[in-house]
Amino acid sequence: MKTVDIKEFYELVKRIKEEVHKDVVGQEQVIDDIVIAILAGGNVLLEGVPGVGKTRLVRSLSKILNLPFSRIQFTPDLMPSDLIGMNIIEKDENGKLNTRFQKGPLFANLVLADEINRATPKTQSALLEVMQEHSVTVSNQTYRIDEPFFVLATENPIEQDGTYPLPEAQMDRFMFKLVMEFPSDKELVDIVNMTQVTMDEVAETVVDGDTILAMRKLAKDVPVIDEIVAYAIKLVSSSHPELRDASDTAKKYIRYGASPRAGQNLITAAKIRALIEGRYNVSYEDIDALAYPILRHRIKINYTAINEHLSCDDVISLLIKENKK
Amino acid sequence: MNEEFNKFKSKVLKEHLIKCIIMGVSLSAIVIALLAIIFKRIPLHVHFLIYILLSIVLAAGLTFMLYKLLMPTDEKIAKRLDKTFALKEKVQTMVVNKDKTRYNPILKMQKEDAEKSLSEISPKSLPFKLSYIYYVFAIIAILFVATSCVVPAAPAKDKPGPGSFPGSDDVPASVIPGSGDLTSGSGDGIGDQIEDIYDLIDRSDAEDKVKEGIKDVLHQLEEALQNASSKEEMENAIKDAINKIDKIVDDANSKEEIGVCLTQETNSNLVDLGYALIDGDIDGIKSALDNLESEFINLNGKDLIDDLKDVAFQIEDALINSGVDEDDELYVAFKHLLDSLNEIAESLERGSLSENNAKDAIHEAIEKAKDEIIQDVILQKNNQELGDLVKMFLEQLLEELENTEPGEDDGDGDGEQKEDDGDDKKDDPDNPDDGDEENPDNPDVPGDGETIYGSNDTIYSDNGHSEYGDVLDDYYDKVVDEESKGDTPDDIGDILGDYFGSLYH
Repeated sequence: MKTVDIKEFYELVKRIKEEVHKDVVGQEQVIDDIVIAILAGGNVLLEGVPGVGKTRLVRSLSKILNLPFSRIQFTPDLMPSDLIGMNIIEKDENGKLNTRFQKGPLFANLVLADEINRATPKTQSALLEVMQEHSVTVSNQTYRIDEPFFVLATENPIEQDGTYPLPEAQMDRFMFKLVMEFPSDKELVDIVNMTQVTMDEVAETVVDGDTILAMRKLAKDVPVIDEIVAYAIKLVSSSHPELRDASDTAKKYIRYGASPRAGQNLITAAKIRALIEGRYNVSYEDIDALAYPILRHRIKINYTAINEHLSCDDVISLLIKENKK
Repeated sequence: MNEEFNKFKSKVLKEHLIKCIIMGVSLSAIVIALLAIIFKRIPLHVHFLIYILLSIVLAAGLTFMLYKLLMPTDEKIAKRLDKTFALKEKVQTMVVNKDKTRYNPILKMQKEDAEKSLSEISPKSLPFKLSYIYYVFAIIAILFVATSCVVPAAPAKDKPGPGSFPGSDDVPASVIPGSGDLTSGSGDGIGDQIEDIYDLIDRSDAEDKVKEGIKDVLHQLEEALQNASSKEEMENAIKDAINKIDKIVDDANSKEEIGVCLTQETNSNLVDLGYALIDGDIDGIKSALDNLESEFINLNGKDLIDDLKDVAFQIEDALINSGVDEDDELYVAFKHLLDSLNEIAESLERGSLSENNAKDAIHEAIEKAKDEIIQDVILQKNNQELGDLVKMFLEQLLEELENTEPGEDDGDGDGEQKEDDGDDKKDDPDNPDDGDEENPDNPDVPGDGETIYGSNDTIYSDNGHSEYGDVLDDYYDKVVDEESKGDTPDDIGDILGDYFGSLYH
């Protein structure tokens, strides 16, 4: 199995980001978080208006990571079998009828599930199950999906008519929820200038699937002290208003708190972030920075927060502040 | 743990020691100050060096205990370093994982990274942090110490005033005149009684110097009695002791001298105060001082100033004329009063004090004088009481010695009979000595036939003059004798006791 040392890890991540920026203008934070998610083995839910570069980003990543990529446009008539594949009947050279499993677009390393909220809950479940299990079972036959497997799902925040918002339990399967903001004027200028030259991605391959797996393995050894683990857990548990030691913020602004998976994700992602930052240990800063992408889709704010014009990120900030005391 | 971390650890431990010293000294000061306040109010006199020694020992003990119990761990030190220098938990991670033995390249690099970060920082840049709680304790300690210095000691307990029956329960029966066994003649009986009187002296509320003085006199008397070779020597020793006790009490007591001089002054309230002092009349003293205060309160303006100065002058005049030592406590109390009155008069003259405030100050000064004077008078009365009691006992001894018949042991324990020189007994003017008649009422009393009337035939002397004290003593003895026999009804006994008690005072 391939191994990677720390210096290599740092250099590889640096190069990945540099290559991505050749194809995607701006969105530094989103790119950083997506790289963390890939290295942590998580999946990402991306929210952004059309045309901000979601598909381009994933295409670029597939080139950089040298991983097969598939893009699925979710529509209301999309069926689960359209994602996972199906058994088809075909004749062999002898004229005998056989069944063969035709793999669906999910059998790729990088999958872009565009506008996931447009598909029916049944189809959404099919995707989410694959995301969880990294395998597909059809007619009692299980087909493994090659590692690393990364799903970037998008939600269009504009069109809400005829959509099927993901339920909270399924949102929980995504490690991060990232928001791609509309580019600034300067960034738009850069985008226009760049795409006048070519619309194709110009990023070059930096790593492969085995290297990604090696980097994941290395990151697991990053030490994290018990205090920080306790802090991460406290952050998650204090988001539950029904618990005895719930924070005042949770009691006031939160309807549903984050799941235990949020705590696991915080630590896993924090280790990656620490290495990317050039450190060899997890710090409180890592937990605080990752709290937003990890908690914003797991916490449901109540009407009090809405009335006070507080966003989910605002409530997370209050949670962090309260736990710091 | 690595060298860089240890440099910081050493600095943190020094800080910890300083904090423990501050807290230990503060807590020790609070405890000792509290003890001092309690002892002052009991009152229980403790030498100030004891307080200092206790403070030092307690402070050292507390400092050591706090140092050990609150010693910061490596993890706490690491946490502080991370927070102070924004090291993002590098040092904490290094310290927590210092004992990990499993080979982990990341741990190794983490440790090196932490050491590198620490080496770039000087331990001197770690600021000394003193929490507000140390300041609070230090301030509380200072306040306690200051309070213990200014809180006044509780006054001596007020002994029962005039009228207490000297033959009360706290006086050993052996001390009551008329009782006790002196017939052995060996001197041991007298010695036992003198021992009893020591106990009485110790339990008295007289001044220590008076008690010690009287005890010294009694020690000398004991020695003199043991060394005396004749009854005359013993009598002289006892008389000498009585005189010395008189002198001790006179020297200690100054109320009469000051009282007499005050009665010579022109201010009527001071004259009343003088008489009250002479009599030891506490209520009279209070009344005279209250009247003096009223005198001032009813005056205004220049009249008040003049009166204040005049009264102060008269007090000063009385003090000088009394010849009392300036260290005498009663003298000092009056001095305080006259100084206060002068100060108030001067402040009024200068205009730095309003009349209302001046009258408040006068009230304070008078109240303070009242407390001090009454306290001193009570003490001097206690001196007088003790002196009178001891003298009464010695006079009884003297009397019994004088009454020792010929043929009785002369008191030196050699078995020789006492020589009868015929001069031991004073003549009864109504019943002159008519020879060797036996006393029909007391046939068992050995003697030379002289008739004895009553229990004491020394009441009337040859020159027809009897000392009041002697007469009083005689009747007092009779009362006590009868009471001890149990023949006197209780209510009568109480009345007689109160009567004689008031006469003695």
